[in-house]
Formats: sequence, C-alpha cells, structure tokens
Amino acid sequence: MKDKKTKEKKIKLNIIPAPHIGGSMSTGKMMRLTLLALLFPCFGAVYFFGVRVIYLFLCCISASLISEYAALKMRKAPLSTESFSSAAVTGVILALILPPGFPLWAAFIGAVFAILIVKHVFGGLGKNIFNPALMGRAFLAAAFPLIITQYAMTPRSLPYGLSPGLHSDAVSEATPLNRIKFEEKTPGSSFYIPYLLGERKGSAGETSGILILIGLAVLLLSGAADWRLPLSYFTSIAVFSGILWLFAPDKFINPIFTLLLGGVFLGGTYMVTDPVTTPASPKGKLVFGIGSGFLTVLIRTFSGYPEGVMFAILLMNAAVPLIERYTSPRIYGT
Amino acid sequence: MGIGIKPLTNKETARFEPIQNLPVPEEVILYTSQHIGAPSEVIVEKKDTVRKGQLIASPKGGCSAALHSSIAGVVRDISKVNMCGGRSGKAVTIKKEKVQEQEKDFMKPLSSPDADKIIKRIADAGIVGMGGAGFPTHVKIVPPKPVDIAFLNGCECEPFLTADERVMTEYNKKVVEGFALLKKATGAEKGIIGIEDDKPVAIEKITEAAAACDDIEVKILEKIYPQGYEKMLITNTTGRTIPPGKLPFDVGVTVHNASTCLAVAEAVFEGKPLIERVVTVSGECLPHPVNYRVPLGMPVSEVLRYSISGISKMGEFDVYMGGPMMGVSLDSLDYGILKTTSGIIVQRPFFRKQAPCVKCGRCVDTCPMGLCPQRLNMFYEGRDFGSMSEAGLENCMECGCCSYECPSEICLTERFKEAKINL
Repeated sequence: MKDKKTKEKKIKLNIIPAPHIGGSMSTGKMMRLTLLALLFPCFGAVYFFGVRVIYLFLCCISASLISEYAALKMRKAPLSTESFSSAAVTGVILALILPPGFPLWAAFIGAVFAILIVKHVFGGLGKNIFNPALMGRAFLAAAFPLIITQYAMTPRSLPYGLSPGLHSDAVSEATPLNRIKFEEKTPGSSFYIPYLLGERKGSAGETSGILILIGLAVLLLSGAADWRLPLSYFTSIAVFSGILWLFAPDKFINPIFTLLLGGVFLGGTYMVTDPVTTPASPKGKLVFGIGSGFLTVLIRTFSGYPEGVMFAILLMNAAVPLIERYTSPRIYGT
Repeated sequence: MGIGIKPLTNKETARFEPIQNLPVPEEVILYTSQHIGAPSEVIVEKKDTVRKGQLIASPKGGCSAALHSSIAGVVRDISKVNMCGGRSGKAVTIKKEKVQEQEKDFMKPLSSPDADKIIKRIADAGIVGMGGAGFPTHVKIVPPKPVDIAFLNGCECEPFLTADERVMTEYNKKVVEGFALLKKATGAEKGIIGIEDDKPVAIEKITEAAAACDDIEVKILEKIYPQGYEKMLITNTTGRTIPPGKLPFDVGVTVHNASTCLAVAEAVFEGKPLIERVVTVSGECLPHPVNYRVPLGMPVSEVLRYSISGISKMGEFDVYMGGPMMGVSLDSLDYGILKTTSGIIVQRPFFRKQAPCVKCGRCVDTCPMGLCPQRLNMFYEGRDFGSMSEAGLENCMECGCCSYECPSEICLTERFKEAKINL
C-alpha cells in the first residue's frame, strides 16, 4: 500500500482524447512561414522603391498589431500568438499592395479598417469573409480615390544592362497596365525580363514577379499553402486571356503580360492562398482559383479599371459559402 | 474519398521483439461486457474456486460472448465496476492460487470439424473480434446474407502497435489455419490476407504458410492509416464500397483480425478458450518496448511493472489502451486487459492548443470517409447537431485523421463523438 502511494505521487495520469499524437504543421507555423515568404517581395519593394517603403511597412504592421490588440481586448478574446502573427501578415500584405509613396496616415487608416472592421467585426481569426488586406486596399481606393493613383514611384533601374531604358517614359505617372488601357501603348517582348525582375511602376510589392515566385515556392514546399489555389488561378488567367488574345491579338494583352503585369503574382501567391477566405474542400479550391482568374481577366479587359485582381478575389471571397455548398467531397459509400 | 494520413510508425523498436510470457498476476479483473452485444451472465459465486480456462460467465442471448477464467484461483469479488473509457459493467475479480498450470479446464481438441462444429467451438471459446470492436466472432461468421470473400486483416495501421505483426510472424501457420476455419465456417469461396507493406517479415511468413491453401491469397497493401479499418481494407482490395449504415456482409465480405484467427486455431485444435492475448507495451516514455502474452484481466499496472521501472523521470503521463490514433486514456492503472486490448502505450501527454480554425482544409483532404470535418466543426460550434447529421456525421468512424492533421490542434474527433451522443 505504501509502495502504491509513493508511486501515485510520482505519476500523474492525464485523460487525453484520441488521437494522442499530432501532425507537424501548426497554425502558428503556417503564419511564420507566410511571413518568411513575404520577406522576398519586401526585399524587392525596398530595392526598387527605396527606404521610403520601409516606413510604409512599419506603419501598416504597427497599425495592424495595435488594432488587433485593441480588438481582442474589446472582445475579451485570448491574446494568442496566432492572432498577432495573422495581423502582421495582413499588415505586410497591405503595405505590398499600396503605391510605394502612399501617405503613411492613410495607410494607417487602411490597416485599422482591415483589422477592426473586416476581420474582427466578423469574429476575428478564421471567421472573416473577406481578405482583410485586400478589403483595406479597396476601402482606401474608395475613400481616397485620388491619393491611391498619385503616389506611384519610378523604380530604380536594374543593373548589368538588364534595364530596358524605361526612363524615357518615366515622366508618365502611369503603370504599364494603365498605359495599355488608357494610352493603348503595349510594351514589346523586350520588356518580359525587366518586368519579371521588377523594373516597372506599380504597388510596392507587386513588381518583382521572380521574388514573389520564390515566396510561392517557400509556401508550397513547406506545405503552408495548398498548391491547388495558386495553380488554378494562374492557369485560369493564362487560359482566359489566351483565348481572348488568340481571338484578336492586336486588341487584347497577351497571356504573358497578363500574368506579369499588375498584381497577378502577388494576389495568386498571398491572397488566393489565404485559407480563411477560400474554400476548404479540394474541388472548391480549384473552383475558387478558376473563378478568380476568370474575373481578373474579365475586369481588366471589359471594365473601366485597368486592374482586376483585387475585385476578382474579393468577389470570389463572397462566393465561398456558395462554392463550399456545391463542392463538398462525396461521402464514402454514397 | 480522402486518403488518410502517414504518421510516423514508431514500430521499429517493438517490431523485432519476440512475444514474451509474463508471470501469473496476483489478481485478474474480467469484465462481462467487453464485447458488442449483451453482457454475459456470471455463473460462478464469490469464494468459488475456478480453474484456468473454466467458464465463469455464459453468453446471454444471441449476440454475446462467453468468458473464461484466465488463471486458477478463487473468486474474490463480483461487482459492478468502472471500465476504461467511462463505461461500467459487472466484473469478476479472481485472486491467484499458489498452484497454477496443474488444473486446466480446456475443451477437447477437434481434428477436422465441419462448419457447425467450428461455429459452436468459437462460441464456446468466447472469441470476439480482437482488433478493437469486439464483435462476437460466432455471430460474425453466420451473416444474414451469403458472403463470398473472407478477409484476414493484418494491416495493424496504428503507430506503435506490433502485436498482430508478431503474432503473424511467430504463429504464421496457426493464423492461416484459423483463418481457413473461419472462411470454411462462413462459407466464403475466397480468402484474402491483407498486410501493409512495412511488415516484410510477417508478409514472408504468412505467404509461406498460405502457400498450402489454393483459395487464400496474400495482398500487400500500402502503409497508410487507417488502412486497417474494415471499409478502407475492403474498398482498397476488392473495389467494393459499403453504403452508409451497412456492414461488410452487405457487400459479401467478412473481416477478421490476425489475433482472432490465432485464437480460433487454438480453440479448435487445442481446445483453448480465449484467456490470453498478445499486447504491445510501448510508447516514447518506455525505453524497451515489448510484446507480451498477457492473461486477460491482468491489471495494467501489473503489465507495466516490468517496463515502467525504466522510466527515468516521473511526472505527467498519458497511458492509453490501443493505438495512439484511437486509444482510450486510462484514469487509473487498475483496469484489466480486455479481449480487444492490442497495446498499452505510455507517453507524455499531448495537450491540444485548440486555436481558431483557419479553414485550411487539411481535414477535408485527409478524411477517409469523404466528410468535411471543418464544416462539421463549424456546426458543432453553433451546437447545430441536426446540420451535422445532414453533413454526414454518422459516417464518421472516429479514426482521428482530422484531429491529427489539424494545424490548430482542435479536438475534432472528440467533438464528433460528443455530437453523435447528442443526436
């Protein structure tokens, strides 16, 4: 009896519901990997648009973190690391999709809106319907329509003679997509490489396709993002713009420029892969990617806007419950 | 249909450990309801002397199982006790007598029995499915519909567990003989033995033993959890799928566990009732994982006595019966080993963080039944059990894949179990 007592003192048995083991991926790890993958376009942004961009990043991240803290306190929700790292991801993405010279006070308002209204009014981490960063950008575009178009910056030239000599048209404030849309000036094929590397006007983080693709590789290889979403998105854009281009090559942008220009790579890598605002089922993910791609091409080609990535993804975000309803997998034996 | 998961197997240490015998325990606790169906009826009384293998509780009704004493001793107590996993039932506690082995109460061996004799002998021996469910075998082999394929499930897909693997390796002939008896009793034309590809020695041994039988085929299956679940096994080998709410016999199949086959062979050819089984004692906390032949009803503390001394640090543990994916945590080490206990695992407790769901869809990807655990969880959080049922909750087999994969470490399987009870 004495023996038993001492034994019980030393050993405490815990009741753990099965399963007693777990996989290696955790939500915190997914967030950290996303932040790691986001570093690549951040480097690109600082390289092409200078130190000014760092202030934009700091402003958006701190606004996100502060609003996250305030929102969690107000809702009396636990202050979890997952919530804060997801808020940091929102801050970084918002900074990446704003013009590099964007006023800091406006960026601050955008980040606060993204976290407080888009994320926490709907219930916080995991419950938001719309991608907070994209909705923040949409809010800024609606609230300050002039400012959002005015702060494009001229990128630094690429070294080693890779630069196509953009500076002749640097006087123009327009991004390549604007020029195609409004001035009908389609760039030649000599622009493929500089555009892929990132020498063009645009929002802070969207210009360097190659760095974003490195980030995408990090996300996919580490298992932090599902391959179905970016793959179906890029494929759908290439296919739909390809169909238009084959139909009338002189009227529509070719698929390569459609992929390279604007925010296709950035959106496909960091926004289409956001698990919270996209379907959970494998088929639903494909439908989401294809739909976003189709809408991107549709908006770019047939609307008054030169760019369509943001609205395409936000519209598909709203359609997620509908998609999930019709794409749930077949139950075994039925 | 999802694909399941590939967890670390953690079998390497116990896989090559030959089955060892344990000394006769001081006391055994034999539960009257360790099978599916009606609890068996106790036919001994307090202070009765019982022999090893003597019938102490007889089956009650059609779906029940006989229970025999696993040691020679005196009945110390017959009372209602708690069983592991929160159930309770009548149990017979037998205290060891000094003289063992002299008196055995075994049945007469049968040499070449016909189907009826096999069925009767299996019922008399109290054999139930030893893989986990504990369905009485003599009921399973008389299905209401004719069956054309009998399965031997040698998958043992749960991590850590190696009991069936050792049984198939060391008793390959008996396992195949027992399986042939079951196949004969069921009236199936064909027998299939399914083994996962991570057990090359067991595959070799079983193939060797099965070479004598023309109508028994060995199939090597991919190592993936839950390959050993009946529905997965049947679909992955025959292509037949079992509709929701149906049982394997509805598609002409019966499935038997490897240890069950061994018990059947021993009951028929040696007259031995089901009074012992092979149990893997393993886990990251035990320096020497082993496979023991354990008398039924032996308390877990006794079984662990020989392994737990090697634990260097005391503190918090999670001790569970069965494998890590579906095993039930024990709140005390006084429970007796059941006919269905394939392993006792000792590990440090894995506390789940239960962070918010981020809808990543890993659970949907992995669910072998093609359910959307994420959706079910959404309904669960709103206590909407009706919608859970509409989304196919009843199809959940509680394999634990969704909980295993969940990056937010939500207790999905546990929640679904609770919802099923609430329905």
